[in-house]
Amino acid sequence: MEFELFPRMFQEIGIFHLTLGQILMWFIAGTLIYLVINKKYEPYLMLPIGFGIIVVNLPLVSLMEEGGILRIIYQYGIGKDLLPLLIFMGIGAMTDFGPLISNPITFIIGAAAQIGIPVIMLISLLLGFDLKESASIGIIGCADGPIIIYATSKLAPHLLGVIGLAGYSYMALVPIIQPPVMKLLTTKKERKIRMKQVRHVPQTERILFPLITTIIIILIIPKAAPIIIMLMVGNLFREAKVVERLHSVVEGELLHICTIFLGVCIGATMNATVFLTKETLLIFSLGLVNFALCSAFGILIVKFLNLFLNDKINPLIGSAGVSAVPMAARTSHILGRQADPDNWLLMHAIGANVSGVVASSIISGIFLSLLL
Amino acid sequence: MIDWVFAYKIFFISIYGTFLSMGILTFIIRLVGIVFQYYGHQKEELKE
Repeated sequence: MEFELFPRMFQEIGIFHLTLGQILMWFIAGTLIYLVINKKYEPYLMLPIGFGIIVVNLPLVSLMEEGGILRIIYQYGIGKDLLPLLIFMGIGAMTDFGPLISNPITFIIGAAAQIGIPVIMLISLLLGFDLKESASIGIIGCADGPIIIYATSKLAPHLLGVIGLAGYSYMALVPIIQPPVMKLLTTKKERKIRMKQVRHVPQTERILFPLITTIIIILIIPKAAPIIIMLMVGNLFREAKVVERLHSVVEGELLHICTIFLGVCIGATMNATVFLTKETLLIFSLGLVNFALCSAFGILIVKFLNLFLNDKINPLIGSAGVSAVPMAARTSHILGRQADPDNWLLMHAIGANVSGVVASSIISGIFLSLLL
Repeated sequence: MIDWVFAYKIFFISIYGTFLSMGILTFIIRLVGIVFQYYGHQKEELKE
């Protein structure tokens, strides 16, 4: 009787079920964790993602199978959109829309920086992805993590891990991807353009902004409602200045708790059989082109607007039209100061940056309206 | 089989829709800004 238990025990030992793919995934996760710790590579999300990848690639671990704890969190948190939307509320609570309100023309920059998304959608279609997968790959270009997760979980949930990882990786690489594009598309003279100081925005105007934006966007694109409502309610908590405790919970504890679960669950979708395919390489390559393209369109629209404007806009802030807050704005500011050390572009770039957040909610809402 | 006509429609509608929404927001937020700036100047004049 006892001897019969031995073969069964051997079957239950994980090491005998280990595959080469799983070991390769540990290596990928290990590299990710190394980069996170040593290079501060989007640490808040990448660290849980890295751990999730390791966990899901351990043999005989059923955390992501029916009834497993990560599966349950995934089903309710991502499958039912809870986590990306709560994170978006936190982003709203952290975001200062003042620079955008004081210079509303930056809304147009945010819109232009999304053009790369449908362009990459068409290229992905040409490369053999279906329409919903292509739209999800396109959305990587919006450089907004929760929107990428939200849209992909609805359009192509089987690609969630790869697209999420690509999106967050390129967001961390904004200071490396954007400068060559920015230098290529602008002259030194353009990079030296000084912009008028951002005006002071009174509190009433700041309170009206989330209300007006919510109403207008939902009237035009109702499918963008969940994203825009969460973003703007968070911002209303911030600007109302009468619910300090709600504001601090939303931008603090709630955001952090959701980030932990979202990160681990995204990592846990990346088991070796799903991740180690040629599609993954293609998606990562398309994501890179997407980021560069979106940044380029942002810069080009500023150059176009400058043909008609009296107060010229520095085209460097165009690339901040991709969301990636505040990394993209900081990159614009740094390049501006390289051309002219006394030029302070940060607040203007933040305006373009947060307009990218609004624009990416709109374009993902349009995709969801047309494709679901 | 890829429905290219539908894909091109999505391409154009997504760009058009984004610019339209952002354009309307630009206009309205600018308008609200002008009202507030005017109101702010009036208040300052009254104080003086």
